[in-house]
Amino acid sequence: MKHFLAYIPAGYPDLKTTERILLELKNVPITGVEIGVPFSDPVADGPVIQKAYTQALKKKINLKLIFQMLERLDLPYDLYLMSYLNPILNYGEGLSKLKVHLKKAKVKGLILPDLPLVEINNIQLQYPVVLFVAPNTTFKEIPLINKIRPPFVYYIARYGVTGTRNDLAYMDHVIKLRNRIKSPLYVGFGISTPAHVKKVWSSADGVIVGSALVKEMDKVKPAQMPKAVVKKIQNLLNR
Amino acid sequence: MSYFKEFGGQFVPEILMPALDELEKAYKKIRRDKRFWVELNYYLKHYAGRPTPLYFARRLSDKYKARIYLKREDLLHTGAHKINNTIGQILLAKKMGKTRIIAETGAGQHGVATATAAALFGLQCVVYMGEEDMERQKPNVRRMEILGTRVIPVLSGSKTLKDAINESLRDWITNLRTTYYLLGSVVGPHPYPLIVRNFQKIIGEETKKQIKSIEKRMPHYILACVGGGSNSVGIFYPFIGSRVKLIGIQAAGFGLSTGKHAAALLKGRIGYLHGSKTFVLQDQWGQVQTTHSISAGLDYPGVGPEHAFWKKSGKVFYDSIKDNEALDAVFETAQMEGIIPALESAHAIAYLKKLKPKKGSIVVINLSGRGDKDLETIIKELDKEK
Repeated sequence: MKHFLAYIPAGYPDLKTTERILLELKNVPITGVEIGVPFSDPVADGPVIQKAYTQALKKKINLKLIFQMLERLDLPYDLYLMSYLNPILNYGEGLSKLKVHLKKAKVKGLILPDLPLVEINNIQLQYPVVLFVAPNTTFKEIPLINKIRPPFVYYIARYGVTGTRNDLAYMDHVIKLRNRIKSPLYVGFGISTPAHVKKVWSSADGVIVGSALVKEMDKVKPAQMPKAVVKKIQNLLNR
Repeated sequence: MSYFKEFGGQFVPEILMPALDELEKAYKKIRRDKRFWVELNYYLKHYAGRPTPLYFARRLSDKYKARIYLKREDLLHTGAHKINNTIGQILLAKKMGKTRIIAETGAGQHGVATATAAALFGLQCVVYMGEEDMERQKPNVRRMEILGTRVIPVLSGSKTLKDAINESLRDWITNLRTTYYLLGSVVGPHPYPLIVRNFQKIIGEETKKQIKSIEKRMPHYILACVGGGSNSVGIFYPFIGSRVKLIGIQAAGFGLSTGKHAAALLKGRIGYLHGSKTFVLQDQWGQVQTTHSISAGLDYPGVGPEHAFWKKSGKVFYDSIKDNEALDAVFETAQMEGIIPALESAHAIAYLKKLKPKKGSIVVINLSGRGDKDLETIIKELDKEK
């Protein structure tokens, strides 16, 4: 089975809408959702997601509110939490409660875009963390990756921030890494067309779509956002 | 080692790691390369104007009953210590074969120093500057443009220095093959805090020699302002572990209890910003706060990781000075010594009133920049008082 991970920024434009999107996503055959935690300084993200975060923060969204929403929901797909390090390691309810709250929210793993492999052992989280690889990752990193055994490995498929276009020039490298990495390998960054999804699935275990969904949300009023996201995913899955 | 004890590190997207590795390798090479330092010293001396004087401020000394010296970094080309670092890093960028320079700037001082060095060596240069800062520091925007640099307004976040750093990092992530990111302070991921410190420590090294030859002894105190922390790291570093009392002064803005300040070392919590583990001004949920200081150069919610280490280990003492105290110090220095200091440096001078040095003690103050760039701000404040 091939994986499809949809990225949804939490609290954009408000938490109610996020909840409705998550429920609507029950109707499409996706395997996971990556919930984006808004941050004031998202260096790995392009303008689309930056704008979503800025707006969410204006509404005073915080990690505790996100957890409380997730706790209430019963969702058929896997949940991952995408957050920059600071809101996680400075969790307002105290770091000691973080693990409990993550579990209650049924979060399967953390995706931390400003935590590179070299720092992985300098952070004490005691929770599954997704690891990143990039076109410049070499085989010498692989033993460490295989030792940690993340829920999946996130391949950043181009140089640039989220939302930038992608010509998928690195698929040969994806295949080489996939053959050596024991965890499933997902590809993300700049995936926006059915052809992209098809091409990624032919070389990797999963695909991650983010900015392309947020762009669809931006085109409609909040009430229509759940349907807009679902429609885009159906379009992407329509091989 | 990418850490200063527990502070520092490389908390950046995985995609940036090879660029940081490449930078570290290149830096290690030039560190041992005599020709590099000969070339750098040539430009520092004949182009930038080093060594800078250590000036005995006679009238201030009389007033405070101490022996007060000003380290005159304000006399350097472009008007601040920033040029020490930009010439060093431009030479490094050239060695690495990079053709495009990017930089962030807050007040515009680092932007101007980068634009200057890029022009000097014929490299293409792009500077990111918060839209709000561009408004506040128009003359510096024009200076950069005259020097042939493209200034790109940053519209994201709080539209100030921290967002300009975010935007520079994003540019670098996208263009890392051709582009050298010339960071202006001792912040950011390793190896930047180390590289910038080592290009700025010349301030302290000169001071040591100069005070030895004038006073035949070490000073009792060294004062320097701390935003990101490059001028203070530069003057403190050679004195770390000695008996000299080192005091870093942060911007208290309207006051530490008002929430409108930029004193990360005094009011921040340990966090992760711009690739570094350090003290960060943040809210309960780990969102980085917007800061306030009358001086744009100190208006930053984080601080260099080496300062964080010095703070925690007690090697340096940190305190703060408010907007109005700094402003008073501008006038005092101008009218008693004929020197208009930058608002940043005025924070260090203003500390004389708090320090109340013992009679006859020797105090060195790092006068990191000149105040010409601040005239508009100063005049505005004067008008308010009227």
